[in-house]
Amino acid sequence: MNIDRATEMRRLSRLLQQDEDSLDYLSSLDGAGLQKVRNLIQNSLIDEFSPLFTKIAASGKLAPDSLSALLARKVFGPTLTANIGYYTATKKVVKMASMFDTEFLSDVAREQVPERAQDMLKALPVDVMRGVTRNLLQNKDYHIMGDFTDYLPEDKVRTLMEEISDPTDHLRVSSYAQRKDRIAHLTISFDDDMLKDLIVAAFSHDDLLQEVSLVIAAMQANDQKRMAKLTDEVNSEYRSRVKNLLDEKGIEGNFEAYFAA
Amino acid sequence: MNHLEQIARELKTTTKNMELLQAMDETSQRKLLEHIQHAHKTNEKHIYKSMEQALEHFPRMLRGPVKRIFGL
Repeated sequence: MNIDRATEMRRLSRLLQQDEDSLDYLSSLDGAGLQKVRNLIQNSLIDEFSPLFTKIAASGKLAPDSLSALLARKVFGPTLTANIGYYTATKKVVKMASMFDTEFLSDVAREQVPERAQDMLKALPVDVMRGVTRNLLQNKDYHIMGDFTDYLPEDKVRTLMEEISDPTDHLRVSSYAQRKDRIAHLTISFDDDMLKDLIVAAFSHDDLLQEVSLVIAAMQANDQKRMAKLTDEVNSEYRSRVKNLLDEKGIEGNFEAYFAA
Repeated sequence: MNHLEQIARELKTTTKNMELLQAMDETSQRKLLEHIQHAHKTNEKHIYKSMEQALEHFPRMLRGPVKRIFGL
């Protein structure tokens, strides 16, 4: 998988709580290098407290799920709950999560590292996630949603995308997702009107135009041709704007069918 | 200890894992080290604060023993 450097910079900047500009010193690292650094940092932050999280998880092992859920909400709070979850049996975590209210579960999601919670994400019913999606969207937590998009099963992402009606929101979430191939696959299932709305949104924001270009590059030739046709229907000059942006930013990728159409 | 060794120690990994950072100059490695240390300090504060808030739910006389059980 091609690791998009700009996406990784956005993620690393959030993890380190630094402006992207102040991370200029990482210019020698490509997307894969940045991802490796981010993963090492992310894991070290959790592993530093691994003995604590393990002990708390062990102390609740025999407690009924309802009591554990109550203690998580009333005593431990979202930060500890998210971290204890990595050291708790998936079955128990899922039962507990199903007992949380949307507000609390959204706060837990904000503290979670999706890479470490993949088993839970696979097992958690998608209906429980709908409310969380709406809550994160309402709070413009695009970076959290983008992170989760990479690690949720694709059918769940498809269902949860139904909760996003604003095309600009779609693109903002996508800008934090590393799996552009997955975004491309999901995007192409939209009807023509929705795709045109996405195109209009992308051309209204320079940063989002770059994002939609990366998604197009991850599409199959036939899908690129469809995007080219729809782009022309919105504005016949738009494709040359994409070309200029790619040249200007030095973005490489397979855009052959998009520009040949 | 050079910057790469310090970064490896912060990340609890080996210097072999730091090979990709070798191309960076000394100043850049130092900046990365500072940013990682900052992230660790912020995270530590966040976790300790969450733990303190959790302990407030326990009767005062039990907080010490609970802290010891959890190794704090």
